[in-house]
Amino acid sequence: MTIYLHELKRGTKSFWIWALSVGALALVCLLQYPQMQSQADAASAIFADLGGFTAAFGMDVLGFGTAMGFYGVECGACLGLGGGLYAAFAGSALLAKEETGHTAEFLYTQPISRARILGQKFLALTTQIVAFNLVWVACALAGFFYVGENPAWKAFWLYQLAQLLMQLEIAGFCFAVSACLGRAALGGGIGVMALLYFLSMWGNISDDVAWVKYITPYWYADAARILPEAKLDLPLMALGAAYLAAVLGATLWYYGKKDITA
Amino acid sequence: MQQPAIQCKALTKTYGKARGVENLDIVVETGAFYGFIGPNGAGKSTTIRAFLGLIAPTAGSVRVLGLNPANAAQRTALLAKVGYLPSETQFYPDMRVAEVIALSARLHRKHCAAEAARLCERLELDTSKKIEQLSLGNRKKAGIVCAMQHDPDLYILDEPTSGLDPLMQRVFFELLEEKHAEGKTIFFSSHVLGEVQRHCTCAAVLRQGCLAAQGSVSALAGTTARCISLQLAQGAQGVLPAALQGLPGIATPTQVGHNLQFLYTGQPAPLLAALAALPGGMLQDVTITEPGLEEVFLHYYTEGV
Repeated sequence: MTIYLHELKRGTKSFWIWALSVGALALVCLLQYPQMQSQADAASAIFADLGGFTAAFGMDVLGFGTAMGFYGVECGACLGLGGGLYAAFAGSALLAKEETGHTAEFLYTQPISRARILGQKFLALTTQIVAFNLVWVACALAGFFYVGENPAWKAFWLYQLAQLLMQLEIAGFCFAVSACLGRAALGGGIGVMALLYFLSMWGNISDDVAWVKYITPYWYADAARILPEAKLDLPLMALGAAYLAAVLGATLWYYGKKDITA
Repeated sequence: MQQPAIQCKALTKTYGKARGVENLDIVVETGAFYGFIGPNGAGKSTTIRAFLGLIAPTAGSVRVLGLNPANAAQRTALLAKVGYLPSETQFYPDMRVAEVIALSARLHRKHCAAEAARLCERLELDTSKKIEQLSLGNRKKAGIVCAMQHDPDLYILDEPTSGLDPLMQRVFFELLEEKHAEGKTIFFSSHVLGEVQRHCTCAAVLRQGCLAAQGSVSALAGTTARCISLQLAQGAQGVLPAALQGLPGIATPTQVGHNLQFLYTGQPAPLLAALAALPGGMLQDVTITEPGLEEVFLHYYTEGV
């Protein structure tokens, strides 16, 4: 597990910057809840008049008047974007950084197969994403307890689970982008994440494009679909997991044959 | 009969329409000290990367220590027996030298601490420094330690002396000579003909992606080939002195100002006799040196090799 430990160590600084920044957003958002709760009716009326925007962010389903509704809309947007960006950033950099840092020649001339290097690198990324979500959960729970609210536990954990799978799926897509694009991977990865995010919003606004739910993981990880009934869309999540497995397999196959540039 | 350490047949690598290397046939016998000479962009690094499996050949075959580097499973096995030094040695900038050396040892699954310490001492390498603090030469030294600490059977070194000061170059070649004496095979690329001539038994010359020549170093450089530089009196400009015309072994004479330069592959006596026969005062000075790489290339090309 030499590469796994090496990757964890290399990613430590970046991990803490992302985890604490996005986690702090959760805390700050939840600290706003008591103030928003007192104005819940007025706020709901305002947001109900925003048409497509209301549906895009799930505010037609989730209300500001409850702690979980507020968490789903406000913190959900922070986690969806922040977590997605972290996953895209870390996934894109995973292979590309060896080329941009000119360390590929060192790494790939060591007696360890490319498949094992990629496997251990992705395992390290998975560990970092899990840890990122643990920091988020700690910050979110601190926020809930500080404002004197208890989350709806089942809905809360199911939502976190869906977000975790969504981030892993984004990381997997960006890992593949990293293998194909090399030095240009970071821009490509962020682009993929943004595409998936806006596809989901488009699907929320228009019933004509319901097919996007089969593409973007933001659909099954949307708070508006999980929190009201504390229920996951398991078939779509299974499809997401299958996409992840397929994209990792294809990346291993492709990168095993790819010419490594210095 | 022992299999060659490196053997490639009709090795070709292209990058789209761009040339890499073309139709290379190279054999490096086990235990050889082999030099791989060529100017920038000749295809030396491309060839070496194909030997290590970093790039896949477009055509042809490569065997290193009997293994195929294009095959993933065989590549891992061969890399365990190879010590590789890239031409532009780069490591993770935020790591310390000792950590990089230890990382390489762990990936080789070998305990190399004692050998690494010995090499660092010989090369005067401070292992406590961060990679980002190192000069090119010190990064090269760290690369040398990573390439040598696990006692490989085959050393593949891409321009290993670039960035090293003359003293360290001498230490480095002492280390290689010690390994060569133990029966290890050494393959290194270089621009510098002198270091290839001093240390190598065999060499290959690469030119524009093609093999210009291959064989023993003495045969390639020509044991009698020397670069002759004559400083002539002013009136003698623009002509090859009559006494030298027709002298066998003179190639590629060029004159710049008062200086006449040519490559001489004949015996010393006729040349000295011809120089002695020059009219009094015409010859101001004579310099006889080993030919530079460029001169040897020019010689090969004009000879149609």
